[in-house]
Amino acid sequence: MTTYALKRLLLAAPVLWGVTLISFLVVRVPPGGPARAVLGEKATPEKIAALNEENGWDQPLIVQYGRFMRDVFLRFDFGESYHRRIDVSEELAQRFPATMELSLAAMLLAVMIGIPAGILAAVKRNRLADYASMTGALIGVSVPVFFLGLLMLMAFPFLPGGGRLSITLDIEAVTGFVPLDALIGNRPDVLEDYLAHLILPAVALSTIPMAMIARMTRSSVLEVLGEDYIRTARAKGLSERIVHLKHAFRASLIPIVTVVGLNFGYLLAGAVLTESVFNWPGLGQYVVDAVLAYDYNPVQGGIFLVAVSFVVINLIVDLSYGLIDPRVRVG
Amino acid sequence: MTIKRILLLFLLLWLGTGCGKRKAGPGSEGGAGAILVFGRGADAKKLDPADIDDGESVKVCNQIFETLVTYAKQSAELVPLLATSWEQSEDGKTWTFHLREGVTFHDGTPFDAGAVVFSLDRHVDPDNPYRFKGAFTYSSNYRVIETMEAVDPHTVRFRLKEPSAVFLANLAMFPASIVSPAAVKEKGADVQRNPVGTGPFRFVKWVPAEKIVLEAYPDYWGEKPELGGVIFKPVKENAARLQQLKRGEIHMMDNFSFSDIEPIVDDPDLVFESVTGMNFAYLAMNNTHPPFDKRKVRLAVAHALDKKKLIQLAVFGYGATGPNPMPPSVWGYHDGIEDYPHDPDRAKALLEEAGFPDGFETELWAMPNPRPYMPRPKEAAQIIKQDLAAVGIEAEILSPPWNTYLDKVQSGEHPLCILGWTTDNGDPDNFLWQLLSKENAVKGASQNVAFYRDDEVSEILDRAKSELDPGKRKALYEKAQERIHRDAPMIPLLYLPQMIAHRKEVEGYTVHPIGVVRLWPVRLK
Repeated sequence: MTTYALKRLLLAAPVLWGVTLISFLVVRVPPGGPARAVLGEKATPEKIAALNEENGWDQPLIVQYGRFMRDVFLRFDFGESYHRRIDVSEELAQRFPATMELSLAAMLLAVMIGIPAGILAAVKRNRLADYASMTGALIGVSVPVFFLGLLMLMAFPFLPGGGRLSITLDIEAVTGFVPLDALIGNRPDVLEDYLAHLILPAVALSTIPMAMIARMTRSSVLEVLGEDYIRTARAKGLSERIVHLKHAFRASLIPIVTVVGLNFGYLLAGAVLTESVFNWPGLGQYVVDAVLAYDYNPVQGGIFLVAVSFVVINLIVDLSYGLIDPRVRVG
Repeated sequence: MTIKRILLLFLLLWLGTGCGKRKAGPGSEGGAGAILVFGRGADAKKLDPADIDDGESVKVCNQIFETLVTYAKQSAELVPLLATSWEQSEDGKTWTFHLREGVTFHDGTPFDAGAVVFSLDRHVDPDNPYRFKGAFTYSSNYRVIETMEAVDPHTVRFRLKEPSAVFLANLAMFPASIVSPAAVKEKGADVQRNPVGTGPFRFVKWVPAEKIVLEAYPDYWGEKPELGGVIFKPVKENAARLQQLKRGEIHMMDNFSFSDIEPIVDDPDLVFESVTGMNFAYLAMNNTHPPFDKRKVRLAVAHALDKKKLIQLAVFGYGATGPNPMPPSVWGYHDGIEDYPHDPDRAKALLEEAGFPDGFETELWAMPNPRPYMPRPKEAAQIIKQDLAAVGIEAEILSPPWNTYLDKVQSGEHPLCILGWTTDNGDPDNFLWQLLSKENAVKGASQNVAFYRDDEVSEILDRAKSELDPGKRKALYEKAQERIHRDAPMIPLLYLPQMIAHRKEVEGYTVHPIGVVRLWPVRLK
């Protein structure tokens, strides 16, 4: 098991390096450069030259890349946001918890509803429960999150319309995660307000993963239910419940865990639209704003952080295969 | 089944907790000391007034900082603020300002002539140690200052390199806000997130991407605000911002889409206010690019455009148009000029006279992203293309990304392009000289994208820059506008309104044509 884990960990390194290279190039490839875009209609040759010099944007690419790698890996320094002059790492530390909270909440909902729905659909195949949950899944995956979000805002006027907390409430940022900080600071009112703000975006965001998890669970469980050892279990006289939950479920877990992991990665990176509609101050909005403002450093930092998270999640998923299926550990 | 019971419970919960409106949370009720929540499209970038150039940062700084002079309530006329009076010398090169007494910064330090010199020196001296590697986009406006002197704690004297008629207007702009020297020296670059000014509201805290909280400054020298404080809340999506306004989660909002105006007007709880703004959109013809070097061709284009239709289709009727390269709200606007009427036949005749009986092919450049003066550039470009096609001019629309767009357009690679201008200080020089003097037609970073290089007009505009007599100055600008209209290097397309939407509980707000947001006179019922 340890060798398996180590091997997986070592493979992560070249992936991360590749990500830094791509994120570095991607912001520099489009022609024109950031100076002119950032200065807008009021740009003059002097201002552009001054900005380029100050940020090292006029250096050859290889020099810029060398500096970038040195700063990121030796000092964890992603530079400053041009517009706000704050360290990108500081801003990432502020925005990442928000995205993590939303993604976790959405994932929890998706798993808590998606898996049981999938199992139910598999067990009651071709009956009402099956058709109902699969239709629900189809709708969930088809309705654009943005539209769904706006619809929910209109349908639930008694729930807050955006943000993480009501405008007049404040909480000391100890960990950066609001629910934890509320518990640490003994502020149940803040926690309640936070949860009220979390519901709508979490539900909106969870619809797509929930649908995918339900479908994957259904097909995976169906496949397992057709296996010989399930027939044996039934023949032994075990109750349907034990057959399903103890034997079938664990065997069908691997594809489900894969889908959960992939979706979690998608949530971390792709919560932009939900964050936009519900004004959730997360990483997605942060990176998009930086892209639109031609602000290099936050874009690089943001891409890197999302990639690292994805690698970590995939690593956990890979390791969990070893836990779920003993055959994997040996191979 | 348990599932049915859960669904039933949820349904009851939804109906029970009511379809009532949600209040914006504690502290948002009306009365004295109320907190106003202002919803805007994006967060501020930083709060150092000398170093900002984006509207959201300016909006917040406007409540915290003050300048020597400022704009009148609803015009670009200049009135005293931190300076109570001023004199100019005969040659116009020396300005003496008498400062208001009894004013303190939010950190308790006194406002005096030293603070004025300190604040402006950050612009005047390129090696000033308090520039903190910022962009300081507007420093060039203040380089006309040769020396500054704090004659006594309440008198400042400026000696200029040459007489300047825009000097006073530039002192009213936000980059000339007076900052607390003590705060800048103590906090260094951190002042960008901890501003200290003399204004009616002082800074409390900034939670990035969530809110900026200001409170009324109890020792303010002037009329203290009735509001207890203001919270600026960034809400990116226009649709979401409108929803929040309707629910009362925010009290005011700006920068909404033109398509949001009708729902606002129809809602009895909301109020829509607007006033003619100080920006404009134009179609620039590159006068160095044939055939637009021929005046008749340019006039043909002028007659080909149906500007009224453009207003209807591009901005849903919420705009105006006119003949001049600055909107009517700007001082010096010549209202005696008749605009070229929409006349496709006349256009075709002119083209024939110019040697193009069958029209010609060309390129129309339009920016891919909305701008304050042009919220729907793609639609506008389509409409213009149609109008041109009707007289035989086949225009291909090109929309490179914004940074390349500016790059190429300012280098003169375009035959036709759509661009615009938002005023910095409300002065006519800021429109006419900036956009049409031959000095600014420098390939590579030209702000004169029509590349209009007329000697006579440039001379008039240069003279007007330093003409201190307002009557003579106005006459010069009127002459310039007449000549410009005759030569038609560019065609002004749209003058857009400054708009704001707020709940009916919000009273006392005045929309300003330049777009300055002033929250201290506001009351929340």
